[in-house]
Amino acid sequence: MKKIRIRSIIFVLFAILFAAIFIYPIYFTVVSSFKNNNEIWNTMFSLPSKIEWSNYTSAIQDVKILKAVLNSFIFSLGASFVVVIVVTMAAYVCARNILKVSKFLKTYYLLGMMVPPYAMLIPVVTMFTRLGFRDKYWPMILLYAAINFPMSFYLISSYIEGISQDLDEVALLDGCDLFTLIFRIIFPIARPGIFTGAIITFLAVYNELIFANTLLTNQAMKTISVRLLGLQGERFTSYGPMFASIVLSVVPILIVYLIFQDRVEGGIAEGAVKG
Amino acid sequence: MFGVMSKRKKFEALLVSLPAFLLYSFVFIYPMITVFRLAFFKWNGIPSSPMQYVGFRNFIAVFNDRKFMIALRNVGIFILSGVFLIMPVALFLATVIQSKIRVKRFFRTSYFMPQVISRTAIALMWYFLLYPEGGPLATLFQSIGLGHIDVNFLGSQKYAIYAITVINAWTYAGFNMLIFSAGLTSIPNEILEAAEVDGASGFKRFRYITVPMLKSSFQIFILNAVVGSITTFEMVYVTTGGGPGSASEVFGTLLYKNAFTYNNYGYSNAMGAFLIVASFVASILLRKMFAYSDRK
Amino acid sequence: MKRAFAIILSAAMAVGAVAGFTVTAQAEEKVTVRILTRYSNPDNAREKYFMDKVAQFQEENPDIDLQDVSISDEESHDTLFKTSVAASDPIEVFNFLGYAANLDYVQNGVITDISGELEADPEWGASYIDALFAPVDYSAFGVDGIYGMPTPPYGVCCFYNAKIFEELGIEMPESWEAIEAAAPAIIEAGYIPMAFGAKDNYRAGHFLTALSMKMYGSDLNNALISGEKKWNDPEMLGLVQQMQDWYEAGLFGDNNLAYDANGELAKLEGEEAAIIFSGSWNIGTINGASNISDIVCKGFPYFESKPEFKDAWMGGPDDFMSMSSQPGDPDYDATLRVLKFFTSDDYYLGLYEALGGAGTYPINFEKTIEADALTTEFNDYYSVATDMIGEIEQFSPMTSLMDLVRTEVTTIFSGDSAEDIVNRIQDEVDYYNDSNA
Repeated sequence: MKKIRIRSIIFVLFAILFAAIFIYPIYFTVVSSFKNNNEIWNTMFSLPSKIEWSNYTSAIQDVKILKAVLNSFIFSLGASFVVVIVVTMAAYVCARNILKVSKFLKTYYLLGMMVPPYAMLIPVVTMFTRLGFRDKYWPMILLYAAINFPMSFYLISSYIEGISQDLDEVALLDGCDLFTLIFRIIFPIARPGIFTGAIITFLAVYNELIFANTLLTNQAMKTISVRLLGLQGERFTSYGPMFASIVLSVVPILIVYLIFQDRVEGGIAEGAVKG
Repeated sequence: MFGVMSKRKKFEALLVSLPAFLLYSFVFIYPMITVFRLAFFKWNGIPSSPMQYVGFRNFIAVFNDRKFMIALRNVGIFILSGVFLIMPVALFLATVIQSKIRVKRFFRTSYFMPQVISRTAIALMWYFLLYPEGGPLATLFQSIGLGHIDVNFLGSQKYAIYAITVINAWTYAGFNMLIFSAGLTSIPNEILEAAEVDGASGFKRFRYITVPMLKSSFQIFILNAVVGSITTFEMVYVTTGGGPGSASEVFGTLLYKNAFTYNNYGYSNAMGAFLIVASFVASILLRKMFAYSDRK
Repeated sequence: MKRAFAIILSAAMAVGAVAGFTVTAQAEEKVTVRILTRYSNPDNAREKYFMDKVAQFQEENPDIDLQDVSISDEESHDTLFKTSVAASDPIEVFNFLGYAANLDYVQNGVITDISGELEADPEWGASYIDALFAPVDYSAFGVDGIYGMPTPPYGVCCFYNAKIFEELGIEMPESWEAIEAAAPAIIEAGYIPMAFGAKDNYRAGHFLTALSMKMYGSDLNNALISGEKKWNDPEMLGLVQQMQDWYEAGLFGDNNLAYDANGELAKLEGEEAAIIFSGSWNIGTINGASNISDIVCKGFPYFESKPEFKDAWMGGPDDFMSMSSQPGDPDYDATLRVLKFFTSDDYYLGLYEALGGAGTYPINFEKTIEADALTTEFNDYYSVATDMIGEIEQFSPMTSLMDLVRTEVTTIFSGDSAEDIVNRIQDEVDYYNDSNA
């Protein structure tokens, strides 16, 4: 019995050690965001002696990080919205094999899951610039929707496949059209699956860097990732505002994650297990 | 039921499928095809300067690039770090969140949290963590008598790529934990209990029951690790940008630099085409291999 | 029927969402002109001045929608310009780097030849220093014309913390021999003899060119570009080896890859570094340092053994304000107006006054302002320069050479041997020459 006790103590200790490894960088960032420059170094483990709110004022006024957070939210919500509408319609048709080409379409859509989107960076950038789509909300949202299309399609169509067809039949016999059927009947039942697709899209877009970095050039349009990347190159006499900016950009997404924790984890796990 | 669907319903279905088809085709597939087409042209990025058809020359340039070999090696290191670093850690974390440990939610949340943070923010955090003058790791090393070690690993040609794999592991361990955790849930408790009654030790139970039962989780993990490593880009771009020198280049950074720093768009598109094909081939080969070993 | 209509309508809406945004608003009659510079940091006096002038232009010219898309980060700046060119929609007014490295843009008609406009408006550009136009003169490549207006010239110089030298009782060393001699005492006292923030890879590029000027004058540059000398010949190998020896002797301190050019300034202000090698563009920033009274500006150190190159400099024209709209384009006139505004005598006169005479300018002023001490010191050295070139790689039409040399030379700080470094550079140069033969 004793042996087991020791073993489980070691187990718990390791569990705690790993928790510390994952939390410490975040803890360090949060604590440093309240410190002045001298205190950031040399007193890494201690709390600030005096809370330096000016870091946050500077992050908001000089770095304009909240505008970047807002932009990230607009892109993420927009892309999630488009994905939900467009994918649900397509997924239903494919899941129910309504069209002769349904099988083909399914393969066609899932193909995208194996392609790293940034490989298409140059054609996308050229296309966007030529059409005057840079620094505009809608084109970016559609781009993000397209990039996240295959994964959401996979999640949503496999959910719909699991729904019994009985309801469809009743509705169709009732003379219901397809559009109404999808949004009135299937949508509420498939909500968990659709929601998962939306959340996964949201997270992916919120933190996307490569396309945002090449397509968004206007300061007022930049997202969190791009703004934070820019900070590395800018003249900073004090690191406090940088930490404060990181904190302000991470907090909203952490809140979203914590509220929808099970959905997020479930969706990501399911997406990973594809195939 | 849909077999007897009216023409009108089929027409409706067509309409309903159309937006997705158009969006995906124009914004995803069309650029993908363009990549393959442009990979055969030499172009400096100036439209008025003619694109010159060069056959496979861009691909030859990609494979002859000294940095291509470095990128290949680094991708190899990424894959190995997946197997030897992320896998054991993720497996352990999965057993923690599947165990009867208290405050399980706290552990699960803390392990998974990095996954939702922007890679740029992660890069900044680690830049400071690894700061050689008074940074946390430097101070920690000093206090345990390792002060002579230069902790600026990201600035070291020898260690930069390993430092990135550690940051990468820190970010993705929670993600992979979920894969194993899903696998662990599917193991019936009765089997483990039966083994315990039979007197099998904890390690033995793990080795002879848990691991074989997790086979499909391992397969998924390997697939993700290999394809993810081939296409890795963001993490390297935000931490070292491929440097110092060319020490931490990966395929993605080469693609990016050749386009936007060297005006060598042909090379970039050839690299893009290579990446698409490579991740395709890798995932199909691995699936075939898994299917073969499952049949045995 | 109603339902079918509803379906068609909603599908059409969804399709419209995909395709509809191509219809751009054409209601406004304003001509849009974008301007791209590296000035986006309001904390810097020079950049703030630019931003104020943008605001002024917008106010005075309601018929032009001037969009400032400036980015201070060099890589992002270049990426933005290049992608706009690649998509046939080049930014209208921008910082052009000139030199052979950017010949492609001129040869392919991306950059507008403004020589005709300069002739038509004799006042514009009259006060400019003629020599500064050299890098946008492509007649050697068979392309006539003038492809931009010079921005303030620069010089790679050094800033010394006089207090540290006083404390140590050492005279401020101006030659490499003297610096080598003084280094042990400086290091002993806990200071960095010469801070070198290699996290920015252009630092190594600047250092190498400046060093080559003090050792060989512009001869080495010419020989390298003509191909007469190779990068792995003894001359260049010797220079890189020299940098490495100094690094190993502690001349540049350590952890160089952990800090950048701003870190150099921080080390000067924080009294950690006795000297920083830097450039005239930082004079304004250093003037705002808390210990400005201790700071002295001097030239880049020379070799006592090479007195003939004592006053050979890395410096000269920095970059150029150029435009991309061609005569006949609907936005040509508006673009020209923007270009003229930001390259006018008034623009620089205003800047000259705003900075209190600090820094360097591309035009000759009628009245001079008593400048700050650093500017005066800088000019004492700068004005006696006998020879001056930009970074060596700029003279080569191989676009990737600059990044290559900078990145490779930076690896001395992570322990690469000088020989490997120059061999790798030459390999790439050979490869380039072979594939463009």
